[in-house]
Amino acid sequence: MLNLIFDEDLKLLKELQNIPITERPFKVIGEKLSIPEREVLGRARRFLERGYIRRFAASINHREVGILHNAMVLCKVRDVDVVGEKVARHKEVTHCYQRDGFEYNLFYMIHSKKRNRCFEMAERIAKNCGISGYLLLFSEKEFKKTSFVLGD
Amino acid sequence: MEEIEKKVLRKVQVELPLTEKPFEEIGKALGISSEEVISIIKKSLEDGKIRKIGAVLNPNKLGYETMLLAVKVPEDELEWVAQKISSYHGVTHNYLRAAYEKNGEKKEQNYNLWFTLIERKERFFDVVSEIRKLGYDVKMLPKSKVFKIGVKFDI
Repeated sequence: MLNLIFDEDLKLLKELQNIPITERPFKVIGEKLSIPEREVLGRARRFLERGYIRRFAASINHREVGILHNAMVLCKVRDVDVVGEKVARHKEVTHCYQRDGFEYNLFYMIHSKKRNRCFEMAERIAKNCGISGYLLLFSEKEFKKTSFVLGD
Repeated sequence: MEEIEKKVLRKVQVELPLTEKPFEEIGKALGISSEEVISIIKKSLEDGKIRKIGAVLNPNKLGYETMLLAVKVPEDELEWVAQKISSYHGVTHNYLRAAYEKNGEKKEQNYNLWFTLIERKERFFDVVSEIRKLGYDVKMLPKSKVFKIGVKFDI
């Protein structure tokens, strides 16, 4: 629904993606766009409510904090709605989706400092959720990892 | 990494308060000054522990299509193909992945290059077609349901 977003909102969204690290970041952004600080904050909260912004937080580079291994776990499950909810409840699971058109229909991601831990986590999750068939896809090489950023 | 640095990262990866002085608020919760929070975050940005700080957008709400795609590439052509795919602005993640059974045994798997594409809805399938012109089997894996998205690492 991009056509419902005004240009001014887009400009602000672009600025909010990467805020200045200073005492009053929203004041600095406001000065740049000639908007009062309070309005910057008000509009940012509205963007959150409307779902344009998923969350307001730091994006961590997991490799740089020592979390070197990530596995995408592919599962074949029958009752995907129920199993998906159960898998998602595990705190070590960062992403969990149902995907169609492939022999595996439930995908989730786990990360760990140790590769072996990923196997242990996946097995524990499988037991907790009643998953019998699954595969772990480890990343062997990272060719690209960036954040989605609205361009100009 | 120092304990206080870990504490700051643990906190800011979850949520930054949308208030006039967000770093002061984080500092209050951790018992340190806003100056300390700011200096830790600046250092983490410099050494790459934090990629960026701010709004994490939802591309699907902003006119974009997002998808996971998998490609089958012969090993000796992998580097070239991976770089070609990574060169697209909308490709945000691109990994060589190998499959393992739960007992740790490697399993032959059709698809080895896995990437995510985020592109404007009206351009999305044009980009996929362009990538297909490279001549490899490209599998689209659209999600039909989201159970969880919330990257919170055990730092």
